[in-house]
Amino acid sequence: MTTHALETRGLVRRFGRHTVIRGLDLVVPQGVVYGFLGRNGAGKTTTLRMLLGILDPDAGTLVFDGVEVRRSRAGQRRRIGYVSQQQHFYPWMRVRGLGRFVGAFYPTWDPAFFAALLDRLAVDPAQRVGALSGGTRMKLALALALAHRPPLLVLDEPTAGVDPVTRREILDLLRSTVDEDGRTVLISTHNISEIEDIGDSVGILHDGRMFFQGPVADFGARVRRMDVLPEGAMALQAGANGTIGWAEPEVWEGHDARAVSLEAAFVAIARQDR
Amino acid sequence: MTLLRVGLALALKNLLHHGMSIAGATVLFTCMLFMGWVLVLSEEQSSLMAAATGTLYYLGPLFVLFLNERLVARDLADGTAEFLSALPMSAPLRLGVPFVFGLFVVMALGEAVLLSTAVLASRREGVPFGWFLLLHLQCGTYLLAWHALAFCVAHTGRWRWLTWWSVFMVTLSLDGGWIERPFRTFLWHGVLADPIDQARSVPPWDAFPVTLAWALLGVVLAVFLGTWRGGSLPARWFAPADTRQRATLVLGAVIALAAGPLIEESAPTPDTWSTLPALPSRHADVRVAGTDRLRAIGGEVVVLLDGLGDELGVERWPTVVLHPASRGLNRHVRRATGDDESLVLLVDPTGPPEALVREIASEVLVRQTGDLAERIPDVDWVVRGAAGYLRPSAALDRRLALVTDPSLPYPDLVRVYGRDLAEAVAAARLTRLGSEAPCVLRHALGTARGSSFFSASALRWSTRGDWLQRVCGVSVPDLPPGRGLVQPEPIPLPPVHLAVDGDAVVAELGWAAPRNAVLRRQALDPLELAPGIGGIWRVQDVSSRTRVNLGFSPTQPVSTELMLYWAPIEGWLTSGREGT
Repeated sequence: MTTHALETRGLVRRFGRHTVIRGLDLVVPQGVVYGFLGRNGAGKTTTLRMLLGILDPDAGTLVFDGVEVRRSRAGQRRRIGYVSQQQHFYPWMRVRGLGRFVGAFYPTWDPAFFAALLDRLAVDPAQRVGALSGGTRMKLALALALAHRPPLLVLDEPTAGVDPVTRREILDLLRSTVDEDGRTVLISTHNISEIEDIGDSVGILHDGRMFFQGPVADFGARVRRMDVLPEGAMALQAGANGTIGWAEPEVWEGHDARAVSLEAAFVAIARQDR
Repeated sequence: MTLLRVGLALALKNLLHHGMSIAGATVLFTCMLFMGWVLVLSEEQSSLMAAATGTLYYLGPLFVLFLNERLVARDLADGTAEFLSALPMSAPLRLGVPFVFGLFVVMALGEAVLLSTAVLASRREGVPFGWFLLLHLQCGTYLLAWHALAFCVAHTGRWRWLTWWSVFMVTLSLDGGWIERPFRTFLWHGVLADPIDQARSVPPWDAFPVTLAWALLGVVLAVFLGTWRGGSLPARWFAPADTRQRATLVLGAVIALAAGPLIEESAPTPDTWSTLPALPSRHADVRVAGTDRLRAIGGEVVVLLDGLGDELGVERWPTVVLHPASRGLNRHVRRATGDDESLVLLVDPTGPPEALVREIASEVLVRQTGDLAERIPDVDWVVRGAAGYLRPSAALDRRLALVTDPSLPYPDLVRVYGRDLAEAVAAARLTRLGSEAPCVLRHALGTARGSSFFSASALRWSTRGDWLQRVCGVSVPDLPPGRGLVQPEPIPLPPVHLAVDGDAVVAELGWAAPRNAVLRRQALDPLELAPGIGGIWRVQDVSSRTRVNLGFSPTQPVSTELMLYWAPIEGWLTSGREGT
């Protein structure tokens, strides 16, 4: 039996009367960059916060390294490096002090590695956290998440609001941490190009459920544009250039179906209910 | 090991984050404590330990409010709580460390206050170790409850100030209201609500479970708020409020603003005494704002006043309103307000019932004399003694035993037992008379000279030494002897002669003064032949002597009053006023 880095089974979360996550089954294989896609408000952050134990699920279970639990425990969270969408660090701390504080929570914390990461990401360890720019703060968060050498890295829109150079640095670091250290990266984003760039697998969250998850290439093979869709294909979006449809790859065989970009496919999926 | 490391890291973070603020608040607190000390030392009105516990009682809640605002609410409001919650630690640890850290700070503050005050007080008023431990227990439990509740309230986001305000206002409004001893009965103040000198004698053990229950409730609620659905309630309450939420908050504030005065107004005020039910009585009109304990005491007062009314012919006593009060009383009974028709007394119901009835009766009798007791201290003296006679107590009996000990000279009694001995002496006299000749005294008091009991009492002022005989119409020596009341053998009262012996004036008694007798003299105004302002009594031991050197020069004009009396009970002889 294959052990995945992370799974969720039938995850449900409500906020008042509004159900955000409706039975989510997420499977993140080992040693990949997994792109977790969804529109704003689709529930990506809610899902990640449940994985980290910041929120409790109303139903469903989480599976960490084959161990099924109702909510994540501290021991499981020690094996996860987390970068949140907004960095709520203590502004009065210095970068070095923040590292010492966070390091106390992880037995595997490597101060030298943390220093090396700061150096690589060009973050001044003597600087006060409150004085850091948004991009530098995100790089600091990434260094904090990596410095205890976690097997699984969970990032919530890590490139939102950062400049292209910083974005590239972050993406390169993520790719290298998978390729060189064999870690698994779960990255939540609505920036499709990033997933095309560094992603191995993709999961698309739509209406609180997983619309698709699998290798990026498989996703691309399921979406095509045709003037008239063949039998067995589901229409996602009709337009002047034809209709974008969703089907198993073999359905498209023998037809004059045109490939579409991941972004166009994602937009079509996201808009299918409108 | 990991747990310890994480706990220490969080505690260190809190220390670095809030250390300066806490130090500032502590300095402010210390200043207030110093002010309390200075007030005590300058006015000599209270004890240092009472000032220390009072500071903790009133300022402790404000300190824990500030502390939890820093330790809990600040993290939740700034979003740093989310950063903490993403770190690998359990929710109990995340909640427990700030709670324990805050508790440590609060307890350290309390300990510093008590210890420093005890060091100072031990040189002045004495602090027995057992009492010191009891104070620790009282203050510690009280602060624990406040800290737990403040910790809980700090999780309520935009509601927390409203909650705090409501808590303060409701508890203050309930104090002294309709509910008898609300602090001890329902709230967490009971362990420190009573004056510490009272609690020293009767530790408020029954208040400890209530206070600890509140502390437990605070912790349980805080854990619930902090952990339920991953702490989504505080996250929601600390998020910026929308229009509807702001409107709800304003509505809540309005309700809270209205609730405090409503509760306060529901407590009896002088205008509403008449709405209180009167206890059934023939002559008395006693109304009680309280529950069973105070009502029972009121019932005993009714019985006493009814009996007295029958015997003295008092048809209607003034309306007496008994109102519970729990703190700030130096005495169990204190007159709050009143007019010619009514008398409102604040009563601490925890006092001994016998003493309470006696003190209440004293106030009623004093009131019945009009302003006579206020103008003439001796009337107050006699009336209060009469109340003691009417309602003797075990404590009084113990004092009487001391008073009637003939081996203890009167000046020593006054010096050792203080001025309130006078009350006991009056009570002793009346008690003895009452026990030896039941009803005689009361009837005599009531009918003497066709006056009321109270105007007869005032005669004591004008009749001086033989007032008992003149008021009562009863010859003291005729009564069966009672130790301390009268001398077993009637003593002749020979005249005192003054003579000049060399350069001194001497008094020749003509008989041997009784054992323990003293001569008391006071310089008089030569024109008024009355004590001048600030006149000083000089007391001289003349035990068994027949001749006493008065210390006057025969060449100087002197007006003086000489009184010879012997222990233990006042049975003075006016030797006459002589001038040379």
